[in-house]
Amino acid sequence: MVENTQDLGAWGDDSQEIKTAPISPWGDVADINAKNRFPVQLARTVNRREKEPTAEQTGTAAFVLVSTTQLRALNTQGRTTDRLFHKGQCRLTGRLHFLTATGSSSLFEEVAGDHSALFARLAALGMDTLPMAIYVAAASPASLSYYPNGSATDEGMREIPLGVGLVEEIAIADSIEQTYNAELITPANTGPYKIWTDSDKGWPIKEAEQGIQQLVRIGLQDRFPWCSVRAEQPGKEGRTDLEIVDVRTGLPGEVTHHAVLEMKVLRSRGSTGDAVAPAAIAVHIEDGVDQARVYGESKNTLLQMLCCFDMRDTDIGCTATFAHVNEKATKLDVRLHRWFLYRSAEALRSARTGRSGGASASGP
Amino acid sequence: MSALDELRRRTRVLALLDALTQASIFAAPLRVLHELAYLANVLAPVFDLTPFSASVLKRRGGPYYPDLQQTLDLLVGSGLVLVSEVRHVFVQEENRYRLDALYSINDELAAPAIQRYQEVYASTSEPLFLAELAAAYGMLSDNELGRATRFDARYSYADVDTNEVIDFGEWKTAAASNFSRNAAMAFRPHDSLQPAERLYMYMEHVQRRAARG
Repeated sequence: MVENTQDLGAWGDDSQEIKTAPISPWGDVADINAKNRFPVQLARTVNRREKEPTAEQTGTAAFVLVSTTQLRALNTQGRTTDRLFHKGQCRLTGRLHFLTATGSSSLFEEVAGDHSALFARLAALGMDTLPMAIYVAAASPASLSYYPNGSATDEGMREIPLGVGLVEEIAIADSIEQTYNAELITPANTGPYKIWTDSDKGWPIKEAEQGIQQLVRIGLQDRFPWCSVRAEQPGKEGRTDLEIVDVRTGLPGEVTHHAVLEMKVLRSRGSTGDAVAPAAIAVHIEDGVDQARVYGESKNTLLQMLCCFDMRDTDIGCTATFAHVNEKATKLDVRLHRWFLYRSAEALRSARTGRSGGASASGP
Repeated sequence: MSALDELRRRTRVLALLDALTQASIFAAPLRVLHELAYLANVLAPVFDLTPFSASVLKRRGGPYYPDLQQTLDLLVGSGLVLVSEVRHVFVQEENRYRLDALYSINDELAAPAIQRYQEVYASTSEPLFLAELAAAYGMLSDNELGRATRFDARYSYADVDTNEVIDFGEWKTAAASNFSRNAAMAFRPHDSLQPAERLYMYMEHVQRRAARG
């Protein structure tokens, strides 16, 4: 809990105002790596721009993520600085914008023509391998397409939602499914971050839950850029794993708690190989149901989910995993989801072809 | 001063100038650079960092660090920092002219040093802190840049007179004297905010106070 009783100096008379100040629309994704943070902040700025009465109805804009050194090199004649880019008060279209990770200001140049001209200009600058996004303004619907590996390739290209959408169970589960398929499904997918100490033996790392939580958070933030996906939020009953809240689109100071996600890693063994009894796993799952309900209730959250990441030796399926808590979860309105993490690509292939040693398809 | 201290000072100045690029401030006037240095000191504890310096001489025209200026001059002399638009500017608050200029990084020489800084300090949150602080600071209007400390919780507090030293942790405890840090930590006590959110909320409150006059 933060300290809030100390001397505020010249701001002493503002004590109440400070306690209830609106949460800033900035800074909540600062800890996310630049490549994943960039489209989130961009979507928010575009949203802000689209609310302006002078917002463009046609035209295209491109945004490139650059380092501070690259930005300084680009700061030459013919380009203009928009230091207050974040306010969304200036025209976006017809311009090629260069932004750093914080995304608060822009250095831009005018580019006549449509998206082809912008792509061509980027190629001519030798910057078509840098993360970039292209915005197509339209009365309805506008679009923001993100090319994480640069405009030279479609690899990884995805649409970033603009405006405000629904934060529904199916969309949350779909986002986690995408993270699961891209990052978690086998040890080979987990990239530099390892969640197994020894995958051959089925030993997850001790902090597997935190690692998965951060990957899931990044995916959810990308899916719901107008929201904040907050980890480890304190409350009277404990700390929530992940919360999806909206502090931006309502009235000033209004907070909508869309969803609370309680996350559990199910393991047959600990990080040093000690066996975990099935009864303990069952208790772990039931605790998750209770926690999701209690946290959701205390924060007046619209949706409570228990998300299990199953790192056990065998995939026994969702039905068997949740059999002992199904009734309770239904009664408490906690939605149950599970994803099975395979120890190897071979185990995944076996599961998908139904060979012995495999398992049923994972997912909610 | 040891060679290591001197290296740290130079690195700090380059890091501040580099961070200002996040706000598209490619060439910074003295007032802006010294003010950002001050804010980086008082708000460092928000990121659990130790201030580079925990005291400053209070002046009507805003914070001014003689050490920083000396280091900046050395960096100009060695070519790592470029200087332009050298001129005398009238400092209204002090009713006198001061020599000012615009300072910018010379990437040709300084880029390796900045890259090394980012690598060495990667395990700390300092590069992130400076980048976010500069971005939050850069959200001030042109009129507010370089004049934000007039509305700062610590700098503008009347407990220290002009030409006296403001201590926010040098001799006194930080909790008892760093009001800027206290204020940043006092936002929304029932929400768990990210450190970076506190920086933006701090600068947003500076703007609210500036708007009130």
